[in-house]
Amino acid sequence: MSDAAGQPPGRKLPKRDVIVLPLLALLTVVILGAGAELFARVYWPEQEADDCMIRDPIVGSHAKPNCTALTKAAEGIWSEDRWNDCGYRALGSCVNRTDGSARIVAVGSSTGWGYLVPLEDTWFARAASTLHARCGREFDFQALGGIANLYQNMARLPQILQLHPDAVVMILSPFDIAGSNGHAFDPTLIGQPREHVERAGSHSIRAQIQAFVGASRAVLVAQHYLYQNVDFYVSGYLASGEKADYLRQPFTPVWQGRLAFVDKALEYFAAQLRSNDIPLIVVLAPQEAQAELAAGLPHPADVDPFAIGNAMARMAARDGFLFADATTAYSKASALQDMFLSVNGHFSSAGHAILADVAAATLALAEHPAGRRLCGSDTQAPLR
Amino acid sequence: MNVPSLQFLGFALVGALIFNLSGNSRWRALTLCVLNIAFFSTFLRGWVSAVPYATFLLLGYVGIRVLHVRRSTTLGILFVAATLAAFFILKRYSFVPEPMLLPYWYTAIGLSYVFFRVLHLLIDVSQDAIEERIAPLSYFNYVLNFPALVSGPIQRYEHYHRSEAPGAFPLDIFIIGHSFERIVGGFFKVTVVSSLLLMWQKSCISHLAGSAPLPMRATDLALIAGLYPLYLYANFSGYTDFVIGAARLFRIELPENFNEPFSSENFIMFWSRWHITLSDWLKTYVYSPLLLTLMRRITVTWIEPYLAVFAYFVTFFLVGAWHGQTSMFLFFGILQGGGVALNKLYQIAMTARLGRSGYQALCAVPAYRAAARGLTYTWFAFTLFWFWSNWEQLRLLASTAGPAAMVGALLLLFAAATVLLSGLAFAKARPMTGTRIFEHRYVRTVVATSLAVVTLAALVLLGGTPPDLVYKNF
Repeated sequence: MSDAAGQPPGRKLPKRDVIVLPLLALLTVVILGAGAELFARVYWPEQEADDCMIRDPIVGSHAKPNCTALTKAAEGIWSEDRWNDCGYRALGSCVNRTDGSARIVAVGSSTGWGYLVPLEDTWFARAASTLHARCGREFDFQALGGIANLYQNMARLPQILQLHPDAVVMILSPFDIAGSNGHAFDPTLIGQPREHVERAGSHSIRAQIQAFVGASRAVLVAQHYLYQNVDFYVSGYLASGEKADYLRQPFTPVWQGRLAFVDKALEYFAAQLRSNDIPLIVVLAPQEAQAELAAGLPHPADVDPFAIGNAMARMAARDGFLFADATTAYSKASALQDMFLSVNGHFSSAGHAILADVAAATLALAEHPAGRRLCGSDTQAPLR
Repeated sequence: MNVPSLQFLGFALVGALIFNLSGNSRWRALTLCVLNIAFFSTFLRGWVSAVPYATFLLLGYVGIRVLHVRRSTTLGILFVAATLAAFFILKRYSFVPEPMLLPYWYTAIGLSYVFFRVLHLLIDVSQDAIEERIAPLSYFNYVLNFPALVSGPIQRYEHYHRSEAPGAFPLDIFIIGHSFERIVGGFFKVTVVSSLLLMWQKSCISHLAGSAPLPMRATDLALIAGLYPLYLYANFSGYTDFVIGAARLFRIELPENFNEPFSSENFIMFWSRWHITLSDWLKTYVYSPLLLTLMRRITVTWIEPYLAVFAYFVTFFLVGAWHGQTSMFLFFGILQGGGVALNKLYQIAMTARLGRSGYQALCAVPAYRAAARGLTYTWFAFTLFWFWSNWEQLRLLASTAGPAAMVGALLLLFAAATVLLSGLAFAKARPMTGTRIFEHRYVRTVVATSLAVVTLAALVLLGGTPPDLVYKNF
């Protein structure tokens, strides 16, 4: 390149510049890209793996007892994960229990144990505090922790029963439901060891580029800011394939299969707990796009952010568990984007506060026997 | 379609490729016509929304043809008046009676700039300044020239017409490279520089608190006032760089709109360096004819210099008032006209007092020049309060800051502008050794690529949408 003005006619670019100039441009891009990646890694550190987790063929994964680890999503804050004497995430020991306290066991996916959120900010720590103020008794939450599907959650039933809980709360999100394979629920598979299958690495160039871009922290930072544009984020989410089809009505056959699986699984789990006089409370935790749509973002006619919640409410009525859809609560929140780690997908500390309110309100529901027992007129009587 | 945007850039690059496939003038004119229509259609909501605009263009062309055949002052005035009336109606000026306004949505994108082009043609054709017959395609491509449609610059027809000649404004690798540099630089200014400056100014507005100590309030207010001219400059000159670069790929040389405006040492000079094509247009079609008319009618010698003061006031009042349809912009016009007129009065008074050479000697004193630059910047920044806010916001700002902070802010801004602009002028006058390396094409390639990468990253951070262009609304 050179000044356009004042150049003699017939000027020519030196031959070497045909190579040198594009190379310089490419080199500049590479250096800036590497600089951006370095900057992002320094200022947006990430530690998503909890070093206390051990893989288990039966229950998925669980934490080592009396272990402490640090986790952090690039978009979030550092969280110290302290696992108690049973390897559960809780404010206290799993063995010692205050007289007259109510014990709640939290199961479900990573949100259930407050993954990536400091203990005091988790939904269950906040719910314990709210319920204590409301019901006048201690609430001892024990979050089993670990990464598990519904079969693996149910395989922990003996551990749950050992804790003698007054209720079990399961946090489920559409993301967790999308993880079920859509086969018919088979209770004989509970407790069966499952081989962990490493995802076979694809060698296609496209897959390698996707993996490279996916691993880039600079791309993550860019995505984070890109997702601040709600319209862009939600339209991108709706176009992201079948994982978003739970928002569309009627449900696709794949999602009908998934919901049928969840229906049977929860029916079985609720029955198992009921036989031990333990109520099951299921809370649906929405995805960010779902909450944005519920908050009134314009959307196509076939999109219904409440459809999956309504389907689960019908399951609850059939299967005998208590259900709460947190979608409405999130849709009413101001600064909804602050409730989620947009790229990571989990709730932020602020997001856990809303989940805590929904869970606490459901646990203290005066119209339900479980609520009355935990927080109502029956509260004064010893729970066991 | 936003300008500048990646979408527009892609459109222009593909268009330029097709345009340059053949050297045939007809091919190029037709390609440009198709591109102009395609670009214009991105601002439409159904063909009906194009009808008022098309009628306006047709009215202009009919006027030009009629005046070309029969040059007459009366007819010229008639067509100019009709064009003015159509413009005021289509732009929905507040003084236009409601029943005269069209009761549906139509596009008026870039109409203010098209209006200046049409008016220029009508006046010049009626006065024989343009003698040749203007072909419909040439007229259409000139008034609706897509790179300059949204916010100018306002090119004169003679200049545009030169680009239609075979072999005019040739393209080579150097010019293409230079055009890309301007495109990238302009995009960077709009997307990165202007966004950051606006964010900073807005954060100062949020930060301004009545309970804060006086120095803090004065600093906040000085920043609120002082950052906006920089933002406006980055936003508008960035756009201009972008479209000049894009138009050059179509062998069109658009005129420059800015020439280091903040180095101006008086307000008259400022307006010859800021939005140059607009002020030139008004100087040509308002200032000069008005002054000539006044001088012909008023022959008292001592009053002659003051006629220029009056003509300046009217011209730059119109420059200001052109920007919008509200009372804010009328006041903005009064401040622009008032500023230029006061400047002229001061020049007359100082020349009378010191003599021409004495005044020139004073203007050459470095400290005087520095203070003059600072004062020019401060005045412009002050007038812009009526450009970017409304009466309610102004009242709130004034009541929050208080009179003492307002005076303090102006003094602070004057001092800061004087020092910073002098530093800039000093650095420009004495370039550091080794800075010539930045003119080398290798270094320029690295700089342009870096700006492109940063701009792309900023676009991603902004959610893919570049910041809005202030002058698109005028």
